Amino acid sequence: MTAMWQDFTRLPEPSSALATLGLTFVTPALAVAGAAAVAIPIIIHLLTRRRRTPIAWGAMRFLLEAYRKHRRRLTLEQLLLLACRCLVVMLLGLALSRPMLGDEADSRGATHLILLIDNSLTSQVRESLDPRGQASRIALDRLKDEAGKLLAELDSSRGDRASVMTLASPAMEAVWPASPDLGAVARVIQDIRAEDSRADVAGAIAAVRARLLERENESGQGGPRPRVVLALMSELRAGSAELSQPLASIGSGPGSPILKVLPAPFQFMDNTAITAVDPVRPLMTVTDAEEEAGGSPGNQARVTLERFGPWVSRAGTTRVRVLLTDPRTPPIGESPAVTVPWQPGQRSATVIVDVAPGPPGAEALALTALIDPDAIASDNIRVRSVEARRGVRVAVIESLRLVTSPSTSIDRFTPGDWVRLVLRPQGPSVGLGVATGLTPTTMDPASVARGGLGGFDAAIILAPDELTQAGWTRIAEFLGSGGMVLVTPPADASVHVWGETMAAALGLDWTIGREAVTYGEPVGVAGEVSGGASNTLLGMISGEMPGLARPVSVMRRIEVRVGEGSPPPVLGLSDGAALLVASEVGSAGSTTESRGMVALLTCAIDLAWSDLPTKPLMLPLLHETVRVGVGVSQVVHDRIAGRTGRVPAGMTDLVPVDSRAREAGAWSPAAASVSRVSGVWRAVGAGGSTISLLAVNPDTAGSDTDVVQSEQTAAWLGTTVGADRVTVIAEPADNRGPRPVSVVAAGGEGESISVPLLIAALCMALVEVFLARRFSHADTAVAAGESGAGA
Amino acid sequence: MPDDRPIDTSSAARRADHAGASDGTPGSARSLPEVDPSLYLHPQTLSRLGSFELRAKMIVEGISSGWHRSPFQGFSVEFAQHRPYVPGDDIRRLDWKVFAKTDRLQIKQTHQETTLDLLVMVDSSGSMNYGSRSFEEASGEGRKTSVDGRTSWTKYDHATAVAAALSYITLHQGDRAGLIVYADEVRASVRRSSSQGTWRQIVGALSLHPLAPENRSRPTALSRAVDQALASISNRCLIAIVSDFFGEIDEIREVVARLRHRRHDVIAFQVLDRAELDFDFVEPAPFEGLEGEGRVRLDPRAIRDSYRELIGTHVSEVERAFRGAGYDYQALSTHDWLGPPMAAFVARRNSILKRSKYA
Repeated sequence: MTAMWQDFTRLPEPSSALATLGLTFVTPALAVAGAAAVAIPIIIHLLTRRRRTPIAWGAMRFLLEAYRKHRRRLTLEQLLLLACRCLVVMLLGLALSRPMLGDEADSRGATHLILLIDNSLTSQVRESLDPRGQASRIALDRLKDEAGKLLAELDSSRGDRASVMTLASPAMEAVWPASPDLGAVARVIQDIRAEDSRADVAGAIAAVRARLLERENESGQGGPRPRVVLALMSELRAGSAELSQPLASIGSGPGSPILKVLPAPFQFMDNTAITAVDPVRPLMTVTDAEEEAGGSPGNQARVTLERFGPWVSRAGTTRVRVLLTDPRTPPIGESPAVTVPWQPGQRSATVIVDVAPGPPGAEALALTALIDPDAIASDNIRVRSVEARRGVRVAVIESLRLVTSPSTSIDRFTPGDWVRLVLRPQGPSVGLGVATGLTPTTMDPASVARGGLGGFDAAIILAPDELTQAGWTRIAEFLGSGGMVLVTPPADASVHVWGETMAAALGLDWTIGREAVTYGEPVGVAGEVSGGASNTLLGMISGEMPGLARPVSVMRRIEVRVGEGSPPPVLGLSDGAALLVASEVGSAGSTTESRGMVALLTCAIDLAWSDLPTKPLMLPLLHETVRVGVGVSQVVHDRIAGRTGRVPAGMTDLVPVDSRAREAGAWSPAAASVSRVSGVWRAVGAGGSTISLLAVNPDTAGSDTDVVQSEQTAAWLGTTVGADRVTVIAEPADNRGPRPVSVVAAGGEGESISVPLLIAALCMALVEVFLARRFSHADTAVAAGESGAGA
Repeated sequence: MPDDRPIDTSSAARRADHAGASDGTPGSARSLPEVDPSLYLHPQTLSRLGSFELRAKMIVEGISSGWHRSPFQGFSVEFAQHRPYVPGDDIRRLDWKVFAKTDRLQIKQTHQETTLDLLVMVDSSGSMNYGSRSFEEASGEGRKTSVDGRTSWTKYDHATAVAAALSYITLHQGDRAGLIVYADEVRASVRRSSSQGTWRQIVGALSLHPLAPENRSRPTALSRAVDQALASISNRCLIAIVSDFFGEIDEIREVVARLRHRRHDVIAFQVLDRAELDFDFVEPAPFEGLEGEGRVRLDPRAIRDSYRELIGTHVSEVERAFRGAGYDYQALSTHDWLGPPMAAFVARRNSILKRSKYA
C-alpha cells in the first residue's frame, strides 16, 4: 500500500496540466479518477439506451411532429442534465483529490525535505513503561520511524533531497547540505541518539534560515527553486516547545518553506526530575577514622525535585537516595532512601538527605542523587562533583610563644589555644563523638610572609598586626587560589592599624576602626543570621542560632563598616554592630578563576573581649565558618547538558569517567564546546593529575512532559513560516499502516479548495435534482387527454 | 362456440390458398379460412345488435325489394304523391285517372322499396397494427394470440370486427354487402352481394390480409383506395370507412368531398387505441413508426402534452370533415366492446331516418 501511494505521488500529469492554473493536487490519482468519473453518467446513459426495446407506434406522425416541435428544447434539457451530472462527479473527484491553490514552481520542482528531529531530553519519554521499569521504546524511536516514512515518500530520481538536523541543544546539522542519497540519510537518522539537553527549536530554525539564505545567495535568482518542506519531528511537549522563545522567520507566502508537525501526543506521562543536588556544606570531608569505620561523616545533601505531568494534581511520593560515589567504581551497598511526599498541586520540593558514605580512598567524589524510574530515565539521576578532602588543614597564624605547650587553665588560654581546641577537640572531657576533619597547624606570621600558605585549606589569622605587607600579599595569593581566611583582632593590641593594610591588600571594601570599642555593659549577640551572599556560612546553624547566641556577651570589639558593594555582616551584636563579616575575594572582576573567602570576627578570641570562647556558639561558629568557607571557595565546574561552562584552570584534557561519558565519546576541552549528554568527566592537568571532576547533568527544563495544545504550538511555529503553512501530519485512523495521503506532497503551500469544491458539488447535485425533476415532466398528467376517443 | 384448437397460421394460410379468392382482386385471398365468425362478432355484440334493424341513412337504389325506401319514385306498389307534369317526364307515369277526373296532367309518384348496398372499406395500413390491449382480453374467447401470433388486440382487429358486424347484419337483412381492404391501394375486395357465401368471403378477406408480412407496414393512401372503390361501383352505396384516419386532414376532406359528389352515404368509424390518445408512457424509450417513419428516442413525458394536443386536434378535424358533409362519424376505442358504440350508432341512425323520410 505504501508503494501504491508513492507511485501516485509521482504521477505528474494531472497536476502539471492544472498547475498552470496554480492548482496542485495532494492526491493526483484521485483527480485522475475524478476526471475519469465524468464518463460515468455517459456510460450509464449509453447502457440504459441499449437495453430499451423499441415501441412500435402507429400515430408516429403526431409523435414526430410533437418531437420536432420540442426537439431543441429537449436536447438542451438533456445536455444541461448531462453537464450537471458530469460536473457533480467531477467536482466530487476534484474535491477528494485535495487540490491546492499554490505556487506553480512548488508543484513542479524537486522537494528539499529538512527533517528536524527532536533528540532532546524530552524525546526520551518512554512510549510505554514496562512493569520492571526497564528501558523500552522511547519517543525518539517513534520520531525516527516517522522521519523514515517521510523520507520514503521522496524520490531521488525526481531530484528530491533531504537534510537532517538534531534539535538537542545546541541544534546540530546531522546531514547538511541536503543529500540525494536518501538511503544514507535514513541510516543517519537511525543512528541518532537521545541526548540530555533541551530541544533547541529556535536555534534549529535560525540555522535553517541561515542555510537557506546561503543557498539562495549562491544559486541567485535563476534556476528552479526546490520546494522546501520542514518536518519538525517532535512531540512538542512542554519540555521541547519553549513557547516564550521567538522563532526566526523563514518566509511566508507561496514559494516559501512549509512546516509539517506531528500531532500533539495523546499520552500524558508522569515524570519527576532532580533539578538540583547540592551538599549542605560545600566541603565533603572524609576523615581517616571514618574511612576505617565506614561511618557517615555527617554529610548531607539538599535535593530539589520537580514533577511534571498529570500526577501533579494528585498526591504521591518519590523516593530519593543520595550517594557519595567515586564515579569510576560502582556505589557500595544500599543507601537509605528518603520518601518525599507530594501534596496535590505541588510541583517542586526540596529535601535534605543524609549522604551515604563514599568509597574509601577516592580522590574525587561525586554526589549522586537517584530517584525511582519514571517516564524519562536521564533526569532520575543527578551528579554533582564535590571536593572530598580527608581533612581541612587550617593554619592558625599567631605570635610565637616561648611556651608552646597548651595551657591547661582556660584563664591563660591564648586565642590560638582556643582555636586549636575548638577545631580539634581532644580529651574525654570535650569529646564530641564525631570527628571534625579539621587539622589546625600553628604558623608564625613571619613564616607566612616567607613561604606562603601552600598546603593549607584555611587560615585563621589571630595576629594580623604582625603580618607584614609581604605577608598580606601571600594571604591575598592564598585567597586567590581558593583559600579561606578568618581574621580576628589581636587581643592585646591597643591600636589596630592592621585593618587598613588588610583591606587594601585584599581589596576589601571594609573600613576597620583603629581603636577597639569597649562596652561598659557587655552586649549580647543578635540571634539572627543576616542575609547576603555569605549567609551560607552559618546557614546550617541558623535555626539554632538564637539559643546559641543568647549566653554570649561581648565586652570589646573593633569597629567595622561594610561598604555598600559588599555583603552585609553575617552576625551582629545586639547594638547593631557587626560581629562577623565575610566577603568573597576575586569573585567579581577577578581574572583568576578561583575565589576565596575572607571573614572577620570583630572581637578577639579572648575572654577579655568576649566570653564567646567558653560558650557553645564558639564551636559551630568556627567550624561552620571554616568548613563552609573552604567549600564556598571551591569552584564547581559542573554543567548542564547543552550549555557552556567554565573550564578548570590548567586543564589539558577531559577523560570520561562514567559509562555515559564514555558512550558520549570525545569531548573537546575547549571552553565553547558543550556536551549534549550527561556524564562525569575528569579534568586532567598537564602532569596527568586530576584537577577536578566535571559532571554534566540533564537540562531539566526538558523534563516537562506536559502536553502542549496543538493550537499553542501552531501559533508559535506559525511565526516562522506563517500560520497557514503549518500543517499537522495526519495519522491513519488505527495509528498503523500508511497514511491516507502523501505528507510531503500535501498542502500548506497553497490554499486547499476541497471544501469549496465539495460545497459546489453539493450545490450542483441540488441543481441536478431540481433540473432532473423539472425536465422529467413527471408532473405531466398521465390521464387521458381531451380526445373524444371511446365516446 | 369458440374454437379451442390452437390456430396454426401456416395451415390457415394454406387452407386459404385452396379456397380461392372471391373476385380475383389483386391481393385478395383465394380461399376462405375456416374461421369462426364469432371471432369478429362476439356473442355479446350480436345479442345487443339483434334487437335493432339496421337502417341506412339514405334509401338506396336497389334491385331487389327490401325494407329500405328508395329515393327514386317509380314502379312501386306504394303511392307516394302526385306532382304536375313537366315536359320530359315519362308519360308512362302519368296518372290517367286524375287526368280524367281533373283534366290535369299529374305524375304519380310511388315509394320504391330497395335493398341496401353496403360497402365496408377497412384500413389495413401499418398504423392499424398498433394495439395496447391484450388479445386474450379483447377477443373474449380465451384465445391468447391471433391467428398470426400477435398477442395484442390491434386497431385492425377492431376494424375487422366492426366490418364483419356491419356485413353480417346487412346480409342478415337480405341486403347486399361488399368489402374493400385497403392500405396504399386496394389490397382485397369482395363484391357486393346478398348471397349466402358473401359472409364467408368477407370474413376470409378480413382475416387473411394481415397474414402476409408485406402487408403489415404499408402506408395509408385513402384517396387512392376510394378512387379505386368508386371506379368499381356505379350505384349509390352506403360506404362504411373503418380506419384510424391518420392521414393528412386535407386528403380526408378531399375524399369526403368526392364521396359527396358521387352522392354516396358514408359512415366513418375512426378506430383508435386508448394509448394513442393518452400516451401514458413514462420511461424514455425508442418509438418506431409502423409505416416506416423510422425510429426516434424520446422521453414521452416531455412531449405528452404537445402530442395529445396534436392528435386531439386531428381527431376533431376528422370528425368535423365528415359531419360537415352531413355524414356520420363514430370514434371507436379498441378498449371498448363493439356493442355499445354500434348500438348507439344504429339507434341514432334510425331516429334520423324516422325524422326525415326522404332525403
